[in-house]
Amino acid sequence: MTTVATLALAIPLFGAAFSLIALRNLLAQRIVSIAASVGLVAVSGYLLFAVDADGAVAVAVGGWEAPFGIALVADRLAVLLLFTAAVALLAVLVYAVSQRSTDEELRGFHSVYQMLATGVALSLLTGDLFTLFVAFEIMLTASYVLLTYRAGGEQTRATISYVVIGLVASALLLTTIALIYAVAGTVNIADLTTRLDAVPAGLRSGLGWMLFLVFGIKAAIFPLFFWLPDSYPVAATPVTALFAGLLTKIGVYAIVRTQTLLFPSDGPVTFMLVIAGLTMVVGVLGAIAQKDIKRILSFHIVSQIGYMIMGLGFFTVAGVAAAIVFIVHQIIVKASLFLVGGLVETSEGTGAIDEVNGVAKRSPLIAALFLLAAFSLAGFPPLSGFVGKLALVQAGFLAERWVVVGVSLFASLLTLFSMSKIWSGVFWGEPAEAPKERPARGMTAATAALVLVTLIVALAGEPLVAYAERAASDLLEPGVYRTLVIGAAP
Amino acid sequence: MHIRFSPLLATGARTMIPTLIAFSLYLLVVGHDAPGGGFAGGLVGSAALLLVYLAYGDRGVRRVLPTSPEVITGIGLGIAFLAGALGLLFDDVFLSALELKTTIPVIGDLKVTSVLVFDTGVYLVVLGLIATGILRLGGEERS
Repeated sequence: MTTVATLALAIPLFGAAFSLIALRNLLAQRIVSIAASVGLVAVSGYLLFAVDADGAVAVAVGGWEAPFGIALVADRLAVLLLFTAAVALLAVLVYAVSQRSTDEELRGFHSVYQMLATGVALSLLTGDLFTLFVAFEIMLTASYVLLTYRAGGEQTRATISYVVIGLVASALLLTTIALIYAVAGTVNIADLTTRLDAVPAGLRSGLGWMLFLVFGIKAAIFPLFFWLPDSYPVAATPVTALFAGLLTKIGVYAIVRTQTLLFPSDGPVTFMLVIAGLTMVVGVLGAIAQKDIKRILSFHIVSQIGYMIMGLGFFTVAGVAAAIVFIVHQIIVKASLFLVGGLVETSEGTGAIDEVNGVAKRSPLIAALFLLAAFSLAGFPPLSGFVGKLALVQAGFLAERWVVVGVSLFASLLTLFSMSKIWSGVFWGEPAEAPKERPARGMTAATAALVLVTLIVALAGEPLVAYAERAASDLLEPGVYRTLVIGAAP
Repeated sequence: MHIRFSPLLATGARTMIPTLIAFSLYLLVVGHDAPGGGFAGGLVGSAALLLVYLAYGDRGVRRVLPTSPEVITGIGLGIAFLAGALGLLFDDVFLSALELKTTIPVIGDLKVTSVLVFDTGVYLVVLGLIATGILRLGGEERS
């Protein structure tokens, strides 16, 4: 199984290398890129079940044993998110290839796309902080390229803030990792779990909050989210959908991974819950003020991040499990909502809700897809958002943190309100003029497939929550992770 | 616009460029056990490429490269990947270093490792990336 875990990295890397070699042959690039994405889905799907049945695996890359070499750790949390990310990557890729222009306009799109997939897989699988930094760099560098590809004046302005924020956050991350190495003498996460015990409590929590801050910038939590709604909407639809689905969630994953394993807390962390509540409310209020589908959805990315931080902030198995379920749900739903937004933009020529009318009459399928994804985002039963939110609310009740639970329900209501704003603005009424262009079949099919996955997530709610609970107890049980990577503590 | 390149630089470059390339290959080969390696070698090789650019312009760079710089980067990445895959095939561990030691008469002991293959990949990636940079930033229409 160690070979399979390595394949999850090797496959997208191979895809990136080959599509760069075949730079002049678009068809070959498409075939390799899609094959690599299918391969990643297959490998991570296998890991999803194998890890749950036989336990997690740790790979010492190059044969250099942990804590000295680079460890890849495929535990339940990593493979669950890897599988979800792989599904989103595949669907968005099919959408991008079907959209006549994307990969023809953007030379080298496929190699950058596969490089981003490599970065995502490495971030999820790595077992040491420095490699996590490298993985973030791979992922972010690929995202800079994807975002700046269509460099018009407006795009360049918007991406400058994205790139600057990204670089500042990376520099901070590297500094924090250096500080951790300075006090603990290792960057291997498993080794750190015990080595940090010798570090004075104040210093330790300081380092913990620094990591929280750095990953918080990447995850766009309050008040560090301002770069996101500004930069995401300007990119091509598949790029925005991918960023919305994956990038911030990898940031949240890093927060969950480091806070639970390295900086565990005995009870709920009030500061985290306050941040979570503010993120939810401020994000959704921002969304209500917007008048463009993609901008509204971008603010919702921020708002939904708050729910994940809330689950983590409870610091119980139920809370962390709920956060994990919510990440899975968000990766799929966010990507599919942006794809729907792209379909509307393609067929109507714009995503401004004042200018578009009556899409429901003209393209009922797009309307149905939007409705399912939007209700799922708002948390309507029996859709996937409901599964996540129910788990969160239950965890909140168990932890007896009523205020933040109340805030989260209030934010859900506002989410529903802003979704209904898109619905009444864009989908209701009479179609004004002839459609600009019918979206290609593959685009609609890819979107529909992803929306279908949200339904599957909902149907598989119970086993998913159980899986997430097993993953969360691996994280919160001290020693499990360490024993896996290094062996039993001395 | 026609830019005249300095004959002094062009003549100097003719002796410097082979030297630089030889040194970069030396760094690449010894990199396993001594200072050097694919990255350092690639940078020195790129310095040779920059000299070509300064002396003969981007046309000169295009002429010395066998294919487009992006493809060189891709081939380099592919070779590095292959080195990792070799480890997976023969040692069950991705990127593990394989060694082959033989004694050749007259020449002496020879040690070949898959690290050299990996370093060659890195060398090409660095070279390809810098060549891309030179050609993209150096103005394509300059002649």
